[in-house]
Amino acid sequence: MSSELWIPSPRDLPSGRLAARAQHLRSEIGRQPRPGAGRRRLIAAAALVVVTAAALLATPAFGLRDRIVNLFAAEQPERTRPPELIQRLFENMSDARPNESTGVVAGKARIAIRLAIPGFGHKTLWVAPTRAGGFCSNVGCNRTRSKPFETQLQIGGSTSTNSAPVPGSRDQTVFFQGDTTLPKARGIAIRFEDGSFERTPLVWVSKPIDAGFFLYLLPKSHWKPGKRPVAIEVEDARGQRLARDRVGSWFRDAQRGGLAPPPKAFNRLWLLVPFAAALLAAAALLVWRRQRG
Amino acid sequence: MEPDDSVLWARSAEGDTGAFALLFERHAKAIYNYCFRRVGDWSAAEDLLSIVFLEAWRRRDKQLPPGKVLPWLYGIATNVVRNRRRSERRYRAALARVPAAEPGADFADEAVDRADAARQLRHALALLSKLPRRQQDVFVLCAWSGLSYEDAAFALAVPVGTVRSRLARARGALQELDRAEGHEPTEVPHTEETAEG
Repeated sequence: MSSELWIPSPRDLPSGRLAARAQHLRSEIGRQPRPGAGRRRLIAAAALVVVTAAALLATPAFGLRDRIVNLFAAEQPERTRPPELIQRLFENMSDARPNESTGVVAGKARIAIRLAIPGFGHKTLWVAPTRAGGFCSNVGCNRTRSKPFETQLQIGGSTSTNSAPVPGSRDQTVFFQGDTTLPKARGIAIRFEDGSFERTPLVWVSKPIDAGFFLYLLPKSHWKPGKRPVAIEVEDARGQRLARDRVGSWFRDAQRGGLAPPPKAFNRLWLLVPFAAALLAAAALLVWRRQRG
Repeated sequence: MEPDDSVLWARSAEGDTGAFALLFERHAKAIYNYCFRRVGDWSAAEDLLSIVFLEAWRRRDKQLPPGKVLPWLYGIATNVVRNRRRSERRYRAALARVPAAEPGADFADEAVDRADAARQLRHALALLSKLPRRQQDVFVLCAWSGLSYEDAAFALAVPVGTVRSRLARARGALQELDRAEGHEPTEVPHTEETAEG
């Protein structure tokens, strides 16, 4: 070896140190737990993480993607046979193309979303597959999956889904509902005139429908000018926008036509004005009579 | 007749601290010197020696082939030296319980002697540090600690052929470095006596 790589010969530990280190080792190993105990805990924890991740990753295959997230937020859809009424609803749907059937398989209709809304009742979004690989829902038909994102404004009555809306009344319920076939879609954002936004879950229904659906109840606080909805967006898992539908004009038109709630509520304090005027008149008459005599 | 390493290791795996202490006494010097040759500090090497054996005890459920206890300890020592800071952090509490050294009669002479050895080693380590870490590991195990290619391969968990090629590259690189520093080209001695693949 080169002289520059000369290394000192092996040495023993300094006198007394070997015994001291041996004694130290004996006392330390007496403190340590059984071998593999930590590793077993680590393996168990890792296995738990893997199983949880696998379960979450597998949920889209069963159409459960956002339902897990939304477990406590909305009523869980039920897997029931579609009622006769619903089947007829789907059978009577027409496609955008004249004289062509939607090809909907009404017997396979299922509930995608069901919300319980105080003062309204239950709002249910039914979906059914079509023979062409698409689907139909309350929103309409996407027979061949040609439309990546569809939204719809719905105005409901005050007591049930069958009650007719009273023009100009605030006792109405406004919904946005829709669907998307964008595979990366994970949520829906509703944007308002004041720049704020709200998110609502996307419920993914498994194959053969393989599409996401949403149902959003527009709060009355967002009926006022300056706070009304302007757009609905589909977002991916990172909150990035995938598609956008402008809904502001629909809502404003509906308000102007009296089909939607008026932008401002009638202030009941105005009812006091004639009463106050009558009181003032009575008081003035009393004073005038006393002055006369 | 003392039981061989494999027997002691098997007994250690069953929790026999006496058997493990025998292994310590048997191989402490080899691991101590190996650690010193990797870090160039006698005091640090002493702590690293303790860490290596504490780590070995922690992993005593490991099944080892016959005759591979010492190479496996070298493997642990290599990892402990490589991750020295993390190892020292893990065993900080244990190291704090090591009894303080008691100076002996010839302590001063011994201290001077050891300081001299450390100084001599420092230059070799400076040269060695210019090699890739994997080549350093093979070179120190085979050339400085006298492990066979097979044992070094076991210690580093690599194929024997990899040990051979890394060692050849390390030797070549060291000769180049040595020559570059203006020294006469000298043959890096073979370690065939001990390093048989």
